Amino acid sequence: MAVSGSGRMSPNFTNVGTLTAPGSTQFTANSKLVVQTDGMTKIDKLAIPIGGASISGSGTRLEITNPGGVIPVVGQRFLVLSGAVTGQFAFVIGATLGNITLVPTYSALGLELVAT
Amino acid sequence: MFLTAAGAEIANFGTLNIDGTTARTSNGLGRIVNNSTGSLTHGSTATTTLNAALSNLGTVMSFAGVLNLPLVNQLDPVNDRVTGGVWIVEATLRLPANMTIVRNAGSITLGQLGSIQQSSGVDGFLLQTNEAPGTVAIQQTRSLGVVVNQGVLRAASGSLTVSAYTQTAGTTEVMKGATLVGASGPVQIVAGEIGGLG
Repeated sequence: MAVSGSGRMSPNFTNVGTLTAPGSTQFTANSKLVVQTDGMTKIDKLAIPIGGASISGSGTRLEITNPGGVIPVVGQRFLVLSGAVTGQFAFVIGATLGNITLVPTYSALGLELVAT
Repeated sequence: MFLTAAGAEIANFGTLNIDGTTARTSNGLGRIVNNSTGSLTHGSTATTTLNAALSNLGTVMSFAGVLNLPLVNQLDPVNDRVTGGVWIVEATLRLPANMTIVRNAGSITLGQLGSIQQSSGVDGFLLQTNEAPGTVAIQQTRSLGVVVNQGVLRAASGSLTVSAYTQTAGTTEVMKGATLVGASGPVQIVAGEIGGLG
């Protein structure tokens, strides 16, 4: 799967949920991954068990929405992208929730947001 | 219900059931206008041919049996295009002439047991372009060729396999438990959104 241009991917349009991509997924210039969190334990997740994700090009964005307004506690971790990840999103939008910042952390697990 | 004279017209604003085993009109005379609030339903196991001119501004629902629609304003057999109307196909819907749905600007729900066929009975749903504001919801396991989406395309249940898929506008929705797979080419979201539901 490839998301490019002004294309957006949301693992779930209505609730917090998981979308499993059947193969490798590319985010290229100006594309967006939009995730929703409940601020407590749940966040939308894009699972890519085969092939992983590659993020490249300028203007790629990870957008976080928190419609309930619940603020996570420090140390809370949210896995938003599972699978191998190469590259990083150029911008993270909506990462500040009250006095907490969700910091993107890329690891072998994928991409987590860590409340700090 | 029979329309037996040229110029005779039924304007439906409610629910009009057209069950039965025989043609419901006389050789193309008269017409039925299914208005925006109207539902035209076929729920019997019979084969029914509605051979008056039909204008579907509302909803046509095929729940059982076979519904032949040889003369419909919104089904364009020359361009293999649905130009409008809502079409809910839970049973068999047969299209005019040898039309195959290749382009859609209406709203089509292809149910779990639904079958859209050419007048000859062969498969008549080979969607290639879903135009805005077209909506297609597929509730069955289905294979298509190269698909371009500019409207709303919903993989509602089962597995929707496409040779390749490009979205240049609009939305692709993948319901919980359903899958959308590019078999031999990529699923490309150039604009608009793709996401899960449920």
